[in-house]
This record gives sequence, C-alpha cells and structure tokens, in this order.
Amino acid sequence: MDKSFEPQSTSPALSFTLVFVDNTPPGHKDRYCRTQFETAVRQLRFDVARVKTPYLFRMSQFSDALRPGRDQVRLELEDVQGFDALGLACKIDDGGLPQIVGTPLRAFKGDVHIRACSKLNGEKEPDDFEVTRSFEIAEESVDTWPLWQDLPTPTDTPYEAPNQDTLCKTIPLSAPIVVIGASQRGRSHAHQGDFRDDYMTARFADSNPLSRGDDNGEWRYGWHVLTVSDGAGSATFSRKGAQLVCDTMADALFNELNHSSNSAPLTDAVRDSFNERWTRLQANCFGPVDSMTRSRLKLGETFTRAVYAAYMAVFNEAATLRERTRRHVSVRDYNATALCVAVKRFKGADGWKSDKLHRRPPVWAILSYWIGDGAVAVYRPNDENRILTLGKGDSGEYAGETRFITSKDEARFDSVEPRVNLTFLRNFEGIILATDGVTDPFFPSDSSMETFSAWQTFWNDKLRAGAPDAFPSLQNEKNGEIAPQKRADALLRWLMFKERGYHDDRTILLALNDKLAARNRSTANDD
Amino acid sequence: MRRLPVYLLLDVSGSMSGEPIEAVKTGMQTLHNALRKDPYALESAYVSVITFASEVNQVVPLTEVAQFTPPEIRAGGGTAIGGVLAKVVECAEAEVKKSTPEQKGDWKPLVFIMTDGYPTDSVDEGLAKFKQYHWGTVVACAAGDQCDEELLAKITGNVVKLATADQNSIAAFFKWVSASVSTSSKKIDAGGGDSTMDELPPPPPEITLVQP
Repeated sequence: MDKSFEPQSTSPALSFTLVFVDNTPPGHKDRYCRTQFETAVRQLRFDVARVKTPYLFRMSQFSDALRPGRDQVRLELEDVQGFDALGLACKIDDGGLPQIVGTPLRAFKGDVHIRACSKLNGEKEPDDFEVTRSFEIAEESVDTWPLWQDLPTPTDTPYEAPNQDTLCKTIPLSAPIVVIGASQRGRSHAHQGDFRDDYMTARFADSNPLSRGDDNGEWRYGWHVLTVSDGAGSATFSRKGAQLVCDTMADALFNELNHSSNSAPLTDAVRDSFNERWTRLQANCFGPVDSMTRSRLKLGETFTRAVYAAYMAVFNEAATLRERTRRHVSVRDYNATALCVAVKRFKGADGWKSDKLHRRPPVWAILSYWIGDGAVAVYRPNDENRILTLGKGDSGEYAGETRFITSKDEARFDSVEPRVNLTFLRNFEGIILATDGVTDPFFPSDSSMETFSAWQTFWNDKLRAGAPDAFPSLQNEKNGEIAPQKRADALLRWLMFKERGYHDDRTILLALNDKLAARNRSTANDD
Repeated sequence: MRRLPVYLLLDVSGSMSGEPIEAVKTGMQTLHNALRKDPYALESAYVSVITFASEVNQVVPLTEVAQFTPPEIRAGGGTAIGGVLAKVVECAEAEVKKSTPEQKGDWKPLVFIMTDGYPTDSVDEGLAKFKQYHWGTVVACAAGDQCDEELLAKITGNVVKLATADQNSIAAFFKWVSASVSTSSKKIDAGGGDSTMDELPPPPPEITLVQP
C-alpha cells in the first residue's frame, strides 16, 4: 500500500446515533419512510477526507426517507463522539440531512459506529440497530508523480518514433527570426509504453531561386513553412500519420509557395491584396477588398492541394502496410490533426511607393491552416495587446473529440478554404503552433483562448518564466546570442512541466522575433 | 480539468446473494485499490456506483478516486434493468460536463453493467433514453448463463460473459475494469461513431467476448 494512505495515528472510534423522529398523528404512520430510513442507514458510506482540505459529506440518501414537506418527520443526531478531535463536525444541516463537515486537522483511518433508532410520537421504538463504516482522512496531498512510469516503446512495430525531438533555425535573410521547436512524449503515453504521436517540422527558404534582380529585394524573402500535427490516441499508427501529414503539407506548401509556376502569381495576389487593403485604409474606405477575394481563391486552391497531398500520402501508406502485412489497415488508423503556418516578409518600403507621407515599413504575411485541437496564434503585445488566433480549434462536446485532416471530406476546397487564414502584420513577438498537450493545461476554456490576458499569462508567466534560456534577455543580448539548439533544448526541458491531470504529448513550435521581444521588455522595464 | 467519469451499474438482485455478491464486494475493493495506485486514475477518473434490484440507487455519486470508498451492498429483490438504464442517464446528465465556450468537457463516460438475470421491469423506455446519450465505451457483462444476452446486445455492441458468477470470474472482471479505466483517454474523431472495445485492454481468459 502506498505510504500516503497510511493513517498517521488512531484515535477513539467515531460514533453517532441517528434518530428517525416521526410525530405524525397515530394512525397515519408511514411505515415506508421507516423502511427507507433503514435502507439509507445500511447504504451509508463516507468519502475519504483530506488533511487541511475543506470536507463536506452530505448523507443525501436520507432525503427519500424525509419526504420533503412533511415536517412531522425529521432526523436527529445524538451522542456524536470523536469528530471534533479531528476538526470535523457531524450535524444536521438546514435541509434536515445529516452531514460531516469541517477541515480535517490530521490523518485518520478507523471506524464510525452508527446507531440507528426511531422515535414515534416521543416513544422510542425497540428496533435499534447498528452499522459500522470505515472513515479515512488521507494525507494533505496525494503525490501522484512517483507513480508515473516511463516505459520504453515496443520494437516490434512498423513505425518507430523517438520520444522527443527538437528543431531550431535562425533565418538570416528574412530579418531576425529564430524558429525553435520541441516535442515531448506525454507522461500518459510513457506510463503505457506508447509512442509519442505528435510531430513537427519546418521548411526554410534560405535563398529564393525565384529571386529577380529588378524587384528591390522583394523576392529575396521566400515563404517559410511550419507544421505541427497531433496523432489521434485512438488510431494505432497515428504517429506515422502525424509525420506524413507534417512532412507532406510542409513540402507541398513550400513548393507551391516558393518554387512552382503558381508561386509568383500567388505571391503577387497576396501582395496585391495587401496593397489594396492598405490604400483603402489610408482613404478610410472599408468594405470588401476585391483582390483579397482573388488571393483567397488562389490560397484556398493551394491549401486544398496540400491537404489532398497529405491525405494521399496517408492513403498510400495504409495501402502499402495492408499489402505488406495482409492485415486490416485503413486511413483511420493514421488519424491526425494539422497546424500549418507559412510566413513571408514583404519588403514593403521599396515595393509600395504609393504612400507619399512616409516610407512603409516591411510587412509580414502570415498564412495558416488549422484543423483539430491545439492552437495557432500570433503573440504581439505591442499591437494593442491583442492575440491573434489564426483560426478556430475543433473540439467536440466531450474531451478528446476533435477533427482530423485524414478524413476524406477535409480534402475538398469547401472544407479547406474556410480554415485558411491570411493576415498581414507589421510585426509580432512570436508565432505559436502548439498541440493541445501544451494549450489544454493553460487555457481553461475555448473562449479563454481568444483573450489576450490568458495568452499573456501563458507567454510571460508560463513559457518565458519556465524556459528563460529559450528566450534572449537584455543580459544575454549583451553577452551574445544563445545558440538556437540550446534554446530548443530549453524549450524541451520546459515541456516536462507538471500539471496535475494533464499528461498528453506536448509539442510547441515558435517563430520568434527576438529584437521586438527585447525592445518590448526594455520599454516595460523603463516604465 | 477534464474528468473521466466511470459508471458501474451492478445487479444486486436476490439471485446475486451469497458468493456472487461477496465477490462483487471484493471486486470493488480490488478496483478501488488498483485505481488508487494508478496515477492517471487518481488524477482524472471519477467513479459512481449504481446498484439495481427491485429499486435503483446511486449508492456512490460521481466521486474522485482519492475520495472513493466502496459502498455497502446487499442482495435482494428483482432486476430493474430498465430502471437502471434510465437512472444512469439521469445521473450523467446531472454530473458529466459537456464542452461549452466557457468550460472544457469531461471525457465521455465509461459504463460497465454487470447483471446475472432477466429484467423484471419494463425496459423499452430506459433503453431508448440510454441509447440517446453519448457514452464513451459501454460494456455489458453477463454473469453466468441465466442472462438476457439479447437485451445486453441491444444496450451495447460490447457484451462480455463470465461462464459462472463465481469469485474468480468476478474478480477478473473488476481487474479488467480497473485496467480499462487507466487506459481510456484517447483522442477520437468528433464526427466518429461509438467507441468500441478496441480502446480497452484485452479481457482476461475468464471473460469471453460475445460476438454480435
């Protein structure tokens, strides 16, 4: 038996007498009530109490016997003994039900002797009986951490997956962006020897082959693509599904956006929609942006192709394994969510000269696609303290229910297009892609994920405070940069955080704008 | 925090008197001890016990594992299967949280029904209500040969059978229930159908799967 459940000391047995009082005029006695009283006494049991934790146990099974509204029938308590020494009281509450209430002072394990009798019109009946029930006050906290096991994953499987992973990259050409990511097998998976079903990857456009000499550097900045996926716990090979989804989506988007014949018109459409939006904004003219509609159409098509590629990759993998093993394998066995971001810096100042008043600063275009739970968000405290969640999570009525990219219906334009988000930002402190293993513990509800204060707590008090080495501070700014790998390692260490009840796989992928972060922090300090 | 609600529906009719009811008591003790040692169950599982004979009683409301103590049970009376199906829906509706924008939902409840006989009440209404609720995995266990297996098959696709309602088989059943509780938090398709036994550990040899 675990130590924490051992009693610290014993004390004299607890006891009380419950009296069923019936003062209904003779002749109207309801034998049924007394039978119910007896049944309720025999069914008595007490929840385990905990030291220093307020305890209230209502013996609600007596409510049937009391027949609400019949005030001639009531329960009384006599000879209550032993409870006060434990910091508890045994009494009748306002509703007429017996209860044990209080804040236990110390651990206890022993019996409660209960004597039951009835009094009809003041006369004691001879049908007394006794029951003995156990009662326990457990130690202050039940420490569950030592109970979690860390079992190795099986080896006789078609797909391996390491228990953790990190990712890091400084992107030199596209302004000071550092991408760091970490993924950790959850305690609940480790306890069962299950695989990590999360996966993440990224594709970086170091130099863009489409770069043209005459565009003032516009094309020097390619699209970077980040993807994260969470394999379904109910699907046998979801770890492979998550990997296929991430890699296929990343490759497909990267090629579409940077290399294909579609790339230039697509990027032009994105820039045009920004231009038009900007011009209208300057003229205080709101309303639908025509070129936005055009770019959305192109983007919808592009992402649909990428989602379809991911679906087909999983479909073919299932077919191959089915062929090889002669066992029933279907796409459902690879169910996984998908979080994708593509980001590109536009060299605004030279590209857009229509503004006569001032040169325009560069602008970031952020594309996203999000299906399933977790979150894709942009943290930008300097910009009106707003959080920008790039899409909406798909959570069902109950825990664990979500949507997967591996459903065939998801690879259609009509399903994909509404999930695609295009945003233009002057700046941001961080782009966040995280699985629900990371978001669930910190966001108490779906609506809190839309509020800046919840994200601020997450970003500053949890993430930055928990993994300081993953973020540059003024101090180490002077001492030079921390190597990206060290930052990713710090993130991985943070992912081991202990949060009772939350033990899923955890993955977080961040694109960080260090300069902006440092500036925000120094302004905050100056204040 | 997301809780995993577990409803145990136990037959305490007259025919369970003697060895079977004692075995159920021991079984619940075993379940309790096993769950107390399991970190997942300790942090997430909430257990309720509903007994049914001629009358149906929720003898333990949904209670976290660390606070749970096995109830006192006595055998006697009929077998109100219709009544207990209606009761568990009523309890779940009151006790299990669904997701809203402001709160996170619990896991879909697990339900284990153990019975050794034919219903003595009318079942249709309770069964209809039960089928409408969104349960997680529902397992019906026929203890011995004198069960209405056809009815159990209507309650759930997951019917298991104990050859006899003796100490060993019932102990094995409760052990399996506790193992199932420890492994039941899986991400599933929100548009998907009912959960199946695939998500539970394989039952021990004392328990036979009844093929639908």
